[in-house]
Amino acid sequence: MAEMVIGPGEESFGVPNGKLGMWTFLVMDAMTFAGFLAGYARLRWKDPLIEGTAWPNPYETFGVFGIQLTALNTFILVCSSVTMVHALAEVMRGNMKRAENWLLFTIIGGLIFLGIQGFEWTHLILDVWPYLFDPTHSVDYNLNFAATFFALTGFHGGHVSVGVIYNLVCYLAIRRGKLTADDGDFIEVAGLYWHFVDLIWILVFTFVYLI
Amino acid sequence: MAHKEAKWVANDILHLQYMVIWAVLLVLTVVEVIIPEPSLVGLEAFPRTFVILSLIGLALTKTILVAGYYMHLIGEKPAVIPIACAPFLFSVFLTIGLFPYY
Repeated sequence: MAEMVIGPGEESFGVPNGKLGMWTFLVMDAMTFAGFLAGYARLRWKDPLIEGTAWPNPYETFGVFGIQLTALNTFILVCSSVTMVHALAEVMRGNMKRAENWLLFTIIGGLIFLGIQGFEWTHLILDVWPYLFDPTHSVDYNLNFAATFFALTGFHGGHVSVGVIYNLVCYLAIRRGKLTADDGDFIEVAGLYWHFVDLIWILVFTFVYLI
Repeated sequence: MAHKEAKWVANDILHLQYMVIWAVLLVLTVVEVIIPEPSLVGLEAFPRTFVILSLIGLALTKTILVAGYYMHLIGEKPAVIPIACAPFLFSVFLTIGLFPYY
């Protein structure tokens, strides 16, 4: 059996401990999202008990503009994944100034994503599902849709917020010279988290907005 | 860090690869938006089963591209691969367990 050495900079099974730790965390996080998505799928699968309360068509609830806006948001998140890999590549090259700039683009991408999501949430709460906050309204499948929608996109949005803060810490560390070209592993681990957030959004976008 | 320079000697190729994957992800996203609403490009509606299966297929393709190329799972140490694949296995069990049989 391979020897285990404790410490973030050390390696276990030939993999840096920091990276192994992040992957282990992502496994747990992926399972949480899997639970959300499987529960959502199970709710949708069931036939309505009351006629006329079938699961709404996302294209009718969000509107074509809403879907296209979210598709744009998906594209922005994918772009921020690209800027993140470029940041890592520049750190490995030793070009810290360029890495800093790519990381800044990544942070801006995350903030734009959150801004558009905030706009969408406001529109949905105020205009599409105003009865969510009306205690006299009876429960129907629209409420299930709204509940699973807010749970999934909210949990994901929380991850994006943490990712933006994580990237901001890395950005400031590079700017202040505390992360150097020898610390590529740190940026790689931050990148793993950011790409995971992008990967999960691809699934959420497909299952909640398109199917 | 000589070993790191050696590891990243193919940096230019990686840069190109990242942009190719980015373009593929963009195209797949556009296709995903069109499939449930083909009237956007003047096409007739597709059968529901086709829509669901193709959307799931496209989403899985995109996640594999992100995990493989952006998270560097392709070329990663063997120890990481089973860890990264574990959630997919568990998710299948979870989904099978939750779905109705009646």
